[in-house]
Amino acid sequence: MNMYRITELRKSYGKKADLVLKGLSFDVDKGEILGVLGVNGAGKTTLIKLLLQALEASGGKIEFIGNDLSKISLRKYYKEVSAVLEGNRNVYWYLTGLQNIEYFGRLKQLEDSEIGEKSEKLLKAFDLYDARNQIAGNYSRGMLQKLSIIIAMLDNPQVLFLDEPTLGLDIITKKAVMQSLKHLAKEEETTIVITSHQLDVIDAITDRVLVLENGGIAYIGRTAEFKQLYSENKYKLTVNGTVDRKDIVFSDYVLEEKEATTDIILNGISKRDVSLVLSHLLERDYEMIAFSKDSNRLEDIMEMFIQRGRNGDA
Amino acid sequence: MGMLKLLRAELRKYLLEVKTYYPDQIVDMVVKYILFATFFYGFVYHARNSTAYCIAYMYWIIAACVISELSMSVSSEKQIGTIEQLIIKPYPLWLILTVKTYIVLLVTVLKGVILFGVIRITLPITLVFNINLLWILLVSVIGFTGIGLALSGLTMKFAKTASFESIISYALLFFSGTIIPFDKIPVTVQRILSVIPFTAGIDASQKLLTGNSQTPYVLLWLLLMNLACFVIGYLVFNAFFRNVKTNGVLNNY
Repeated sequence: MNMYRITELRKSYGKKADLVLKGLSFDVDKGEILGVLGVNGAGKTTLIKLLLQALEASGGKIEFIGNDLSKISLRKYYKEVSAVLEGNRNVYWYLTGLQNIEYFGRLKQLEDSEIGEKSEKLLKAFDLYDARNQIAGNYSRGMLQKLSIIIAMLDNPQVLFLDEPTLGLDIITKKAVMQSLKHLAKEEETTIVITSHQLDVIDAITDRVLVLENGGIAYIGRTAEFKQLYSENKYKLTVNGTVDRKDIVFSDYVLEEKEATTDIILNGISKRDVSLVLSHLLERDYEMIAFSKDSNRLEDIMEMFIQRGRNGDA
Repeated sequence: MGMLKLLRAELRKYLLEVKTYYPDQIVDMVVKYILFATFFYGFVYHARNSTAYCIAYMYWIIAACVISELSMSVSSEKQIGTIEQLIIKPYPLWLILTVKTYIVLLVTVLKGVILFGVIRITLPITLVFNINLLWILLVSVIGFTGIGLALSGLTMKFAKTASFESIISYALLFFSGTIIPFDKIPVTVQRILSVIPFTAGIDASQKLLTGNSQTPYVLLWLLLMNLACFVIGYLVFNAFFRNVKTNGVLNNY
């Protein structure tokens, strides 16, 4: 089921200004996690704010569960969606964590009992329970971020928009956030639209990615498929000790020296050439530890994608 | 039920704010006392009756509270970075700001009661009260809200508007009949002021307390004037709100 259907969405800040978004068309399914990627200024935050109706589109159409969003009462719409917006404080510093939760919970028209029940669960899940009565102004950046996420998740929204939600979080909390988001999408069928420059997060939790480039869609598809885009004919060879570059009979490679081993990444190599490289190294008594077809990290793919786009061959 | 939740949310939040920044409240009361006493001895004492002055001063406190709170709220929420969180809530932004302002007004009125209590004890003033005064005040608050909404709409678009709020506030104090008697103000200014709810409210209240009868026509005119002021303010607010959503300047401050 489509949660959103976006058709020819355009946005410019002012009548004479250039278009920031140039006619985007895509769907977002119920219960899916969509990652929105792109370099700074690609239009990720603008897109989220348009879907949130915090900005007015210059053209095109946004449908929410089959209804034209511009004709839906915002009062009803904002009962269904929540957001954590990057760069904004999202909370009041003179209130404690719990007081912030209570305030925003009431603005979401939740009952006090409901707020109490859900906040306790979320505060414990995000390891913020002991700090709940501390003034938010004394929180670390990570704690503030956790508090913002708790507030956004408080009313079990149908759609959750997260703009850089894991920025400033430690590894443990980041994992807890990722698990919670996956749980929300899978168990509660919450639709999540997330932007992040931390591509390990996008890689770990998203079903699909939407890559924005110069205000247009450069790619939309399954995250796993996106990762395969440039990973054809890429192999990783791990050998014991160091490797003399003269012993690698192939030109496009990268050497990564570890403590006791060396990784040789062979890019764009044919099967025949792989055999040649392997036998050449074995003849010179290198001890092979591992050999695999290398799976790219999302970060590498994005880098290649942006680079190819800039070279005009994307 | 929805309104009650909003009221509770804003009341609790503001009481916590007062608790955190309570010295601000004390300073505010002291400043208002000093202002009152200064103008009382400087301009009013020998010139006209103290009841008229008290009424005008009370109006000024209430008008300044409503008008400034609305525009300052927008300014501070923009600076803090919470305004977009307020926008994406089931309540319209103008309603959240208005309810917040009325909560602040409630506390301001309580402070005003204490202030006038202290004034009565410490200054040679006779305070007269009439319950019908409350109705005129309540009607006037509708008009003040309209002015405040228009200013907060402007603040959304031009963040620096809030900086001029104190000028507007003190202009009201001087040119509305509070400090300088209305008939001593230049005629052109009188004409402008006669169509704003502030002056009309003061005039109606002063007549009420001095025993002059109020015709239903005057009270109806007061109500219509305030309602019109509110509607205009609401429309101005929404026009600017739409404009900032189109031009994306909500985060500028």
